Amino acid sequence: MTARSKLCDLAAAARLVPPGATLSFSGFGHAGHPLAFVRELIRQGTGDLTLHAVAECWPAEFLVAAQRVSRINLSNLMFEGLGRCRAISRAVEQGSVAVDDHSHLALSLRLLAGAWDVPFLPVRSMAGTDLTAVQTGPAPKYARVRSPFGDEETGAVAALRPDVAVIHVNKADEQGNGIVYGAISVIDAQVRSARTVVVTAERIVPAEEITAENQVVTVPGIFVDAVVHTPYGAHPGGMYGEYDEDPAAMAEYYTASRDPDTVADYLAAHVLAHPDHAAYLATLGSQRLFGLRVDPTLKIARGTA
Amino acid sequence: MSDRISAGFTADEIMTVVTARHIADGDTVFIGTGLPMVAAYLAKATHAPGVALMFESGVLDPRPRSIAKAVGDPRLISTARRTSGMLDSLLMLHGGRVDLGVLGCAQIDRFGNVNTTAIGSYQRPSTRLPGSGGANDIASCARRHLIVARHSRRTFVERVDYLTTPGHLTGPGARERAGLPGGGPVGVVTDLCEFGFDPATREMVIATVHPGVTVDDVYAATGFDVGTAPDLHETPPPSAAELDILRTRIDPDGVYLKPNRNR
Repeated sequence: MTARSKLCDLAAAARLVPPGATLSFSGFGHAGHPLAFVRELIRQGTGDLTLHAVAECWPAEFLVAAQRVSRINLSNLMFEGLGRCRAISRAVEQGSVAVDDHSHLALSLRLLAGAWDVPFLPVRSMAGTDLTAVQTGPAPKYARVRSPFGDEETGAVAALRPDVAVIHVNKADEQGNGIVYGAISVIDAQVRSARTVVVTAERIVPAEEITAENQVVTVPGIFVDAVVHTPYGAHPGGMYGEYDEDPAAMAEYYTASRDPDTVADYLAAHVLAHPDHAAYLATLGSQRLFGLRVDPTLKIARGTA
Repeated sequence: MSDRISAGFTADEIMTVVTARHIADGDTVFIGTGLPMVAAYLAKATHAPGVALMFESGVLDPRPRSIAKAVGDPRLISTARRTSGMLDSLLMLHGGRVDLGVLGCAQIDRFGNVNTTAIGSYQRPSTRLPGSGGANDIASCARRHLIVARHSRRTFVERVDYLTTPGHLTGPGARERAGLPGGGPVGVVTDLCEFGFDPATREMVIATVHPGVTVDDVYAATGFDVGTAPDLHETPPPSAAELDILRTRIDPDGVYLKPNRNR
């Protein structure tokens, strides 16, 4: 007897995100973000979103640029090597997106507390700074607590449970058991704290292939609700072990992000003009996509060391 | 002095070299991209071959053949002794396993408190910056940390608009009262000078001035009153060997060390 496949298409997976949902995305720097999913979410028009943004600069920037975000719990949002996430900066400066700041560890621990189903976790970071003094979220994030085992006082951060976590993986089976090679950011805590988990995968593989590497399974399928075959799902960013980031495509967005009109033009041309992810990839062309493939030994793109 | 030169280096190069000299052999150093990463590579190539680099992406002890463009760069991941994730690397930091952290800043005050979040009011800032990331965790938990900044009155301010990253907070005893386990900032490296911190007041003092810079130049570029260390002296300039390694091996393409940033 085999369990029912969780495979579906991106449109069906994106419909798991209702308006007003709280979201958390995989990825770090310019790699591993589920951007094909984000583009589909923008096409569907889902709005009033809250993001728990530990390291998801590209998903957060695209969704804010498309005016789909109301609030962000964040620790750091910038494009390394490029500069600030301009749509996000502009939205905060204009007051159209509310933010509440954390350190990376504190926001990660909030998700881990949600994953463990405990109301808080202790943390020494953030003490003495405005990260604790300025609390703007709908519920407090930080408090001082006394250890139940002595006189020591410590900080504590409140648990978070996102409605949906979207995780991009190198490969997964039809049950959503997924493997991510390279740095995994806070995927463990995101997967376990979210009420609904969507896995987008570069490759769908037989269960036996996952079993053969079961010590590095990043996403246990028991948490997963939907699995989508999504090759080049992190483009214009990269995916470790698969393809390098696409600097020209990233620069095209970054140039467009200079003002609201050009960023709207970008979204119209690169997101809304395409009915689906396959159409998006078709405009890039197979030659360009193949040129991004990594050397299997060096794990970085051909021609660079 | 035969291996020393007194001119012919850029502001970026002397900032990198001074930062590298803070790294001791055997240290575990938590770094971000930019000059701090170049400085750590330089230290590893010269006096500190046993330094282990740690990045908030979860990369531990990489040996990249060329300069990485980001902390999540595949060059770091594919040459690391261990790769995990952010939660793992930051918990090692939180557990007291990091000797030195190196940070940048947008605003800094006399106690080494740093703002990388917002200029102006927090809720409606004139400029929204990237936010803390791991910087607050590093400055809270690393045994010691160093700050690297370009020198101007816009950066060195009487009071930071938003305190993202703890320095010595309000002065002696403040970090201890807040329960911060790390020792706090030990220095600030700029394109004009290097600051230390007075052990009694925990306030910034000028420790060395770079070749060709006067103490008055530093006063003019600093937005608060600052004193001098008792042993104030000129910064030893980069050696020919250090410059050669930076220019030919570590950052030959000028990814981080911009040739046009001459002082």
